[in-house]
Amino acid sequence: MKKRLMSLLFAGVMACSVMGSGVTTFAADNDSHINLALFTYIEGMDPATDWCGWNLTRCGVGETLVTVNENMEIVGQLADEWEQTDDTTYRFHIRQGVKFSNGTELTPEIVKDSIQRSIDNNSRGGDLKIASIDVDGEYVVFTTDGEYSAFVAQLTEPMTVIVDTTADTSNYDTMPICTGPYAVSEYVSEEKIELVANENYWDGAPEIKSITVKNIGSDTKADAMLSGDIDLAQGPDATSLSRVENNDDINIVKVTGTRENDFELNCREGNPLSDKNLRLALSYAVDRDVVAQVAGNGYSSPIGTAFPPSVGYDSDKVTAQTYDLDKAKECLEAAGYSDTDGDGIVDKDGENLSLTISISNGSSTAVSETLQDMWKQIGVDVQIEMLENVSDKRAAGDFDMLVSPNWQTVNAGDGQKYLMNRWSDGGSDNYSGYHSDEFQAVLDKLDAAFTQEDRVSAFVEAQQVLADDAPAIWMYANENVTLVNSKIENVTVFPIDYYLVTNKWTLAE
Amino acid sequence: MKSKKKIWIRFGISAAFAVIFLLFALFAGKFAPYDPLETHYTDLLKAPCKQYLLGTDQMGRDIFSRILYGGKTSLLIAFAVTAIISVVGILVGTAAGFWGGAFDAVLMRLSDMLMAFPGSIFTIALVSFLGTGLPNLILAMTLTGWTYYARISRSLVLSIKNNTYIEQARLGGANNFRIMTGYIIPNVMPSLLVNITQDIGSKLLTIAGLSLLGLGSQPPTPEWGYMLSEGKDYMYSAPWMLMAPGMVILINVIIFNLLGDCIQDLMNPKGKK
Repeated sequence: MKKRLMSLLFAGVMACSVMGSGVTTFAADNDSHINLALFTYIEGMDPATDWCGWNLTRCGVGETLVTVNENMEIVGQLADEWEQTDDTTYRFHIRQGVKFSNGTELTPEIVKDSIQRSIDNNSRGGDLKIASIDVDGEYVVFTTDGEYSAFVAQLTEPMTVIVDTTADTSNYDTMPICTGPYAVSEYVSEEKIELVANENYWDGAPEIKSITVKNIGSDTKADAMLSGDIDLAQGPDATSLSRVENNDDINIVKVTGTRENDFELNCREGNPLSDKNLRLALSYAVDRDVVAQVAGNGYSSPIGTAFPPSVGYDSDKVTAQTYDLDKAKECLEAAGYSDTDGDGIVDKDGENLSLTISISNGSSTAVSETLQDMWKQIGVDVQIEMLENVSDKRAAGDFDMLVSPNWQTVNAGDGQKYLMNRWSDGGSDNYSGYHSDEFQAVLDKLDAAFTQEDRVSAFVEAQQVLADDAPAIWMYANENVTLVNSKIENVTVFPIDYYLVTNKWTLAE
Repeated sequence: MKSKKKIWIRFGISAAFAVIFLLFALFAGKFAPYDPLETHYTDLLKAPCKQYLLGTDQMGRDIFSRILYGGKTSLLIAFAVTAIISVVGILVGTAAGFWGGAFDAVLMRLSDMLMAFPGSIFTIALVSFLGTGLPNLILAMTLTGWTYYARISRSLVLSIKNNTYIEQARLGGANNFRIMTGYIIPNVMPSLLVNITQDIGSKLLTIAGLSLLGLGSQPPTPEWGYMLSEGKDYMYSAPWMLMAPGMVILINVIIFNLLGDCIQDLMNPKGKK
């Protein structure tokens, strides 16, 4: 009898805890409140620190002088006019009548101090290449360190978000004072950010008066939407989307993202992949349509170039590798590989060709396994090595192929930084050890290209050089997916995922 | 009290199932309709149907075939590991219990050291140190697993070592080796048989668990634990990817635990535990 009682009690407790766990929050009694999850939840809100500026732009808290809109155009935000007056000088007119969320008037002096603060404190501050900042009436004048064609685009980088430097900045890593449609009212580390509407907003206060930004992993965002825990989710995992596909209350809004997924190849002397023909062979043997399907389950598009088409750099003008097994075999032969002993694996000088894909322990190996299978078709043996820590091997150049997922190609609204970081000599992310005089020449062209037209044609050239040399195998670009509860209207989805919240959102009646 | 007949029936059924699973694992090649690594890119994530008995995974590979071949990996390794640790453990424990003295002291302190670490965590640490892959997994599991059998067999030996029949055998001229192999081990084995059988289930879970974490078998080798890890990303779009390996692990562990239970009942029919 006692045993029965105990087991009933136990079952009762279990049932209660299961029910309780489903109700994590209840909606605030104020109707105009929503909960949301960001693309990634970064700790910290100070633009002068690391990448925290991205949090500010995503939350609609921080604004920059210029920004990139949903059509990938650079438009004014806190600046309404700008011009380049000579090779290294730029004049930006600061929008009048803008107030910070604490009521302070935005002045060119504060703009100068704020940007200087970011340059001084952020390790990436040097990327702006600013030699000096001066104030001239309603204008802020920048002088760059030498000609810098990407300068205006660089000012869209969220690390240049303008903060009120005249206020007490000691708690700016949690509650910075900025000019955006929302301000931080509460910050709980690793848990949530509470936002309230900025009634002083220069473009009109938002209709939705408060937002809670929650820390939710990409694999559970779809679940959180279904349970009502959040009303909007930026960047849920593609594999979790089938649950919400037929749901009337949740809209799946997609736009092709600006990130690309590739496999980086070790081009250094001594590695078999230093032979361009081998790299091309591997690239021709990849059926990118299938890879995109395996990777994204309908939410990825295949690409063959360094920039996805969404970025607007005329990728269709570039001739890249397509799925062609014959060409692949041709290139293999040109590299000196053939199956002389009939064991199904090509060899050279008596040694079978075996390459290793290095991938980190928690990642999905679906794409790696697919490539392994595809390359088996041309006789290349590929092993998959799952490692605790890929970055050590990567830094030491001790690998054959690396999985490079979701690389942002237009940091700061322009692709030059991406090209420089990954493929130029001494680039901070040039793990493949790629070097090409031709490529360096194109980068020099970019430095001198000040009009969008010139820049696009230089980008086309860059993509062509990279496609011809294949230091990486570009495979697919993920769609930027945002899940929106049907009660929220007027949501703009940006190709660049560090923009999200705007003042235009409304709640359906 | 359970009747002898019922016990034999239960034993028969669980033994039969265990043998069937073993046969499937050993002769996976004959039963599997497809090569476990064969991809079908036009049939990604298909639900179970006539063509693919348990559906396909994210690369269009037949799950039924992968389960069969996976059984080969999982079950055979579980058996191998259990066999090694029981043999090594029993030998060490019996020797330690029989001879006693410094030998016993050293061996037992060694096993104390190894037992001080929580089992799974030590295995994981060893695998991280040695590197991933199945041979290293077997090595790591055997390094930590023998201590259990050593301890138990040692205490069993200590309890029977001073029995009169051992004295008599010694008087009869049997040397130490003969006593150990002829008398001690045969008396120790039956009690341990239960543990060994149930341990197979436990080792199966450890292997699956480590592979789930990516520390066991490496892709694309089919292995139940790794298939679970692959399946979790598709929990909602293709639940069969999770259910097949999950159910098969569950059933196998139950069968072996049941088998151990039946053996125990057979040895102690009056319910003396």
